[in-house]
Amino acid sequence: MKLLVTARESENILEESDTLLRSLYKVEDGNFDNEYPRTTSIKPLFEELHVDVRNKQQVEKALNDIRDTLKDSQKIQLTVAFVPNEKFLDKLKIWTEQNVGTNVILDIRIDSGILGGVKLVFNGLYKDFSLIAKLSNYFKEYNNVSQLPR
Amino acid sequence: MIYFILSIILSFIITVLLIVVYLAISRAQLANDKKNKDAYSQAIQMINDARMASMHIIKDAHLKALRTLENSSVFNKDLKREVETSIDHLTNKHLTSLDSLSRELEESYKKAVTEQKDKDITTIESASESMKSEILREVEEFKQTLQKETFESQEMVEQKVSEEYEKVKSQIEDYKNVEIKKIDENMFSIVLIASKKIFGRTLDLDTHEQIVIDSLEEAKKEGVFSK
Repeated sequence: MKLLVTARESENILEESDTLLRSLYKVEDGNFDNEYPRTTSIKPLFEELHVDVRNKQQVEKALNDIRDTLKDSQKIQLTVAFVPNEKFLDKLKIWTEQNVGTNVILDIRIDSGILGGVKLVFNGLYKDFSLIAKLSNYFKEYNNVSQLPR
Repeated sequence: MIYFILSIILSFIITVLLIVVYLAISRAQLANDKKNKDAYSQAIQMINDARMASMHIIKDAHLKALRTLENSSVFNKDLKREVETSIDHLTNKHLTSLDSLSRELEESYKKAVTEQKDKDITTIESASESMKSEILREVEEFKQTLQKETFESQEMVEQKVSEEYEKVKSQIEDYKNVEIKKIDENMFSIVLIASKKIFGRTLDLDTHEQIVIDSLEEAKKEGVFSK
């Protein structure tokens, strides 16, 4: 199973999967047939995975597979200076799939103080590629103002 | 016979006196000027005393000889005259000897005084040269010591001035570095604030997105995503 989502999408998927797993064996209010149509993350996934929602066992298995996949996914924490739109998030997912892998959770955080670029944490490794860091490093290379290039 | 014995006794006495005088003269020659003078006076006095003593002795001897001769059975006027003549001759002879001795003594004293004077002049000249050399040497030493101490004092002053100069220079350098560091920090802060404001307002969304992608590419090149 390929699953490349943002952290918020991952939380939403886990939350909806919990709800659906609890609803599978209910017969009254809150049963699967009532809950499933309300989901915003699981429903597109099930359609993509061609899950037969009338088959309770298949649904249960798919939900558990999704949960396990998310549990085993790598997590990349990315801090950017702006609020990314869906288009850019898709662009990020494509880049991540091509360069990192398919089962990845992108934990996007916002900090305008970094001016631009990105700060990332991956596999316990922290890297700062922000503009503010680059500016600071640029000035640190010179002992005083008179040495700055003109 | 008696005359002969008296002559021998008299000669012996005079010889002893001469020896005493000679010893006095010798001692006087060896003494310094004052002592020489005193010795000379003493010697003259002793010669005079010897002359007087010899005169008395001769006179006494003469009288004793005459008395003896007068009591002698063999005494006659010719013999008495002969004795008297002999005694007078002897007396004159000794007096002449004493005068001669006195003159010799005076000559010796004068010679000794002259020699001593020359010697003293030479000694004084030598001492003067010595003193001159000594004074010149001490003046030269003093001059050298003064020059050395002056030079050392100058060096000490120069060293002290140099140390103070370096100290002040170091303090100025430290102060300069602190102030420049403050200016640099302020400048960097200003530039950073300006950069924040400029980038925050001028970077459009596409540029931001491209910078993020470029940064990820950079991270990939650095091997951040390598397993």
